[in-house]
Amino acid sequence: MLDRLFHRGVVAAVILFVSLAGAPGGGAAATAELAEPPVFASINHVLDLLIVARPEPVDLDPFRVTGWVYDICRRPARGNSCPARSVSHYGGTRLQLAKGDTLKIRLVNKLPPDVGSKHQYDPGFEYLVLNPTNLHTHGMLVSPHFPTLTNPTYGDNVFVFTLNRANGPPPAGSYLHGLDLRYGFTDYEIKIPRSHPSGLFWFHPHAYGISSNQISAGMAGIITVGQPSDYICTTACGVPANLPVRHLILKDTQVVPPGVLQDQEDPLFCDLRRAPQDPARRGACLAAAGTGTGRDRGRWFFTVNGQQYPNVTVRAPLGEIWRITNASASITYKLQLRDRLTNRNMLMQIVAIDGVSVTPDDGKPSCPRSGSQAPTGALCVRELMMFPSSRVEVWVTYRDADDLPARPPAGARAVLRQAGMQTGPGGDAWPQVDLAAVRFADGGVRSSPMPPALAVNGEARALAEPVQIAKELAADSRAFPAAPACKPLPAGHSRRIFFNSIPAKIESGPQPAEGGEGGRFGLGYEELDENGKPVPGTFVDVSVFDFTTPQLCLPLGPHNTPVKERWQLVNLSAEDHNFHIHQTKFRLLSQDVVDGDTVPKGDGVLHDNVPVGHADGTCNAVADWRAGKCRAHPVWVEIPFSIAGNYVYHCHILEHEDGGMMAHIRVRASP
Amino acid sequence: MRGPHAIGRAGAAVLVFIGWLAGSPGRAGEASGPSLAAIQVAYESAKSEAGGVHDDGLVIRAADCQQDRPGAYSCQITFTASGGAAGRLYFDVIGIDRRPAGWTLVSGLCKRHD
Repeated sequence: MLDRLFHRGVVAAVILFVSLAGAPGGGAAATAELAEPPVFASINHVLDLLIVARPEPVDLDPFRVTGWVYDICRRPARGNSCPARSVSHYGGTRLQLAKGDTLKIRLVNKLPPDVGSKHQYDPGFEYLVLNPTNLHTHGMLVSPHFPTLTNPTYGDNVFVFTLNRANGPPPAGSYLHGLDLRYGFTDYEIKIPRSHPSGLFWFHPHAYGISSNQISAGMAGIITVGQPSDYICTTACGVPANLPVRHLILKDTQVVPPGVLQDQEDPLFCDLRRAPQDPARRGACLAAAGTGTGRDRGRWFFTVNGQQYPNVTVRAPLGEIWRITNASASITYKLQLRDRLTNRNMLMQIVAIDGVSVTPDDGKPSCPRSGSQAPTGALCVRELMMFPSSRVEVWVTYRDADDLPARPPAGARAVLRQAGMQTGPGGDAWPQVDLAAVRFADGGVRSSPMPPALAVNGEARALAEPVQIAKELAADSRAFPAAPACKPLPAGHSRRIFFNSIPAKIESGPQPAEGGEGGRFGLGYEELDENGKPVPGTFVDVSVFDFTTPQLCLPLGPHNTPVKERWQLVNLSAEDHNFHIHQTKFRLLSQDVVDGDTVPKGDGVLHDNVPVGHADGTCNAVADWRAGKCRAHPVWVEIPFSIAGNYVYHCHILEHEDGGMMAHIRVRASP
Repeated sequence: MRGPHAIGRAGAAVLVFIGWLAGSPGRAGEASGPSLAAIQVAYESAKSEAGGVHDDGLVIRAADCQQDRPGAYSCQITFTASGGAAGRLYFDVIGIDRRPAGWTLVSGLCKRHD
């Protein structure tokens, strides 16, 4: 469970930054029509940007707070500042790329010191008060290269922190082993392979210990590669080529009176359900009793593109594609499109997950059929469970009582709702909040019948064997030469990753039964043989992240071809976690049901994050699990490694990642 | 790779001389902070004194220093490592103080990755 905010004293310091606020930033007035995120698109296959992380006033009714945003402009010829007309949008900016493009970013840190982050009090992490930052292009299959004498830029590499020199030097005695530390700015150059999937990705800070704080304060945006028409059959399938596309960036932020943004979020800020005397939860919930009354009470904002409870009008006769990103640090969304007339959840067709279009899975159709028109296996759901970092692309159109797309009646309305969920007995209660009001306008009569589902030419199946990605990035991979100690997994063997809380050590008296609250989080490891038995000598107990000690090392295949491994994810804690790995995507091999929702699996679906449900019972250690003291619900995944480098896998509930639930993996070029 | 105690007497003498050059009052480098040579010496010295904290074979290539308070500087440095991948550049922010015995590394320059 996330720690309850422990430092009300931080408020005073943050007020200082509020007082420095100038013109308002990206927060938009309530009940406005949803606006698309600002866009920067590549020109001549290059997108060259200056991104300045800095404080910015944000209006979140009734407060004006100071968030931390990405101020973005095309990179000027000189200097590390954007002009006044640049985009500094709390809601998030979209970077539009094409396959084969190069994304160049100079990231400048102009953030204030962060006196609110809790991990700055962990021994050795005092430097976090300086608010270091970096950048991760989440979900992208790109190189994490290091700088060299000939190319002094970084790839999608999280082993570099950038400091704002104005915040002062690292404390004396700081020895940050295992990562690069820089003052002022860092240059990134990220080549998008021509064989990269078209889809939806996002960028966010990944500075260990403080990433959840920075994302909660507003630092996140999205990346799109290609267009949905790359994988949705349009004209040839009777669907207009200009099917409207929306981008919805979901963020959450907690604010306490008189207008102070809490970057160290409190999971108990609101009750799971609204109290009868409280107002409707439209874009925000009122702080739980005890933190004030009426308008003086704080609010937990749940925004879409930075807007509180915007209106979304679906006008096109065939509906729209919604590309949704969970850009919250720790929140899981259970999204429903609740029909106001029928009071039931509308059906939505999933066309892409985590940036990769889904291939229809023959024999398992879930979208309704009408005669012979429906493509087989189209994936439809009434609820989208989106753990932190998830992206999903859905076809949203008005549907009749038979769930078939239909012309909307007058007054057809729905609400986009975060239904809320409890992430296990030791987990968090994410509150129910309505996110947007949806109106289905009559878009006119179509000359041809409405298709019951869109035909999707998914890329997931081909990407399960990312041979072309490996080929295109082979030169980058060779910069991470083979190492004798880095051996391939024997045939038939697999890896097991343990997730658990690490109880806080108390000098005397009873020890806490469950970690997390005041404790840390960690990952453990062991290798399994062909019979699923642990290989002696491979067990590494659950421990917090260490930059310098890789948990795993593996070489690519002959001539740097991809290597597939099977991993078993075993959650021993009493709350859900969310497995994410950089530089690759994976296939789900086992059934994965969390809080009643089933995660899509099969050959035609790839993920870059997947929930791992909590255990039943109490296991403080792996030995407890072996002794049967709890029952875990393991998740099996198949991961193709095609890119060499130093990268990480971790729980993407960032409070857990910042607390240590991350591990360092080295993938090396083939010998 | 040379260990912390592998520097011969002659090498140590050279380092001391370089350190004296870099650290002597009025020498080039003091007004704007320590020179590259001074930082290299401070690193070698810290490596010898705090065995195991600092990696071996680090070579300072560039530094950008500013004075944080009298006699105390922080510098962004660029360096290479004898055991690192070919052409690999590393970056760190170090704290370095001017003390009677010469420039003294107070934070940073440890590496420990490749």
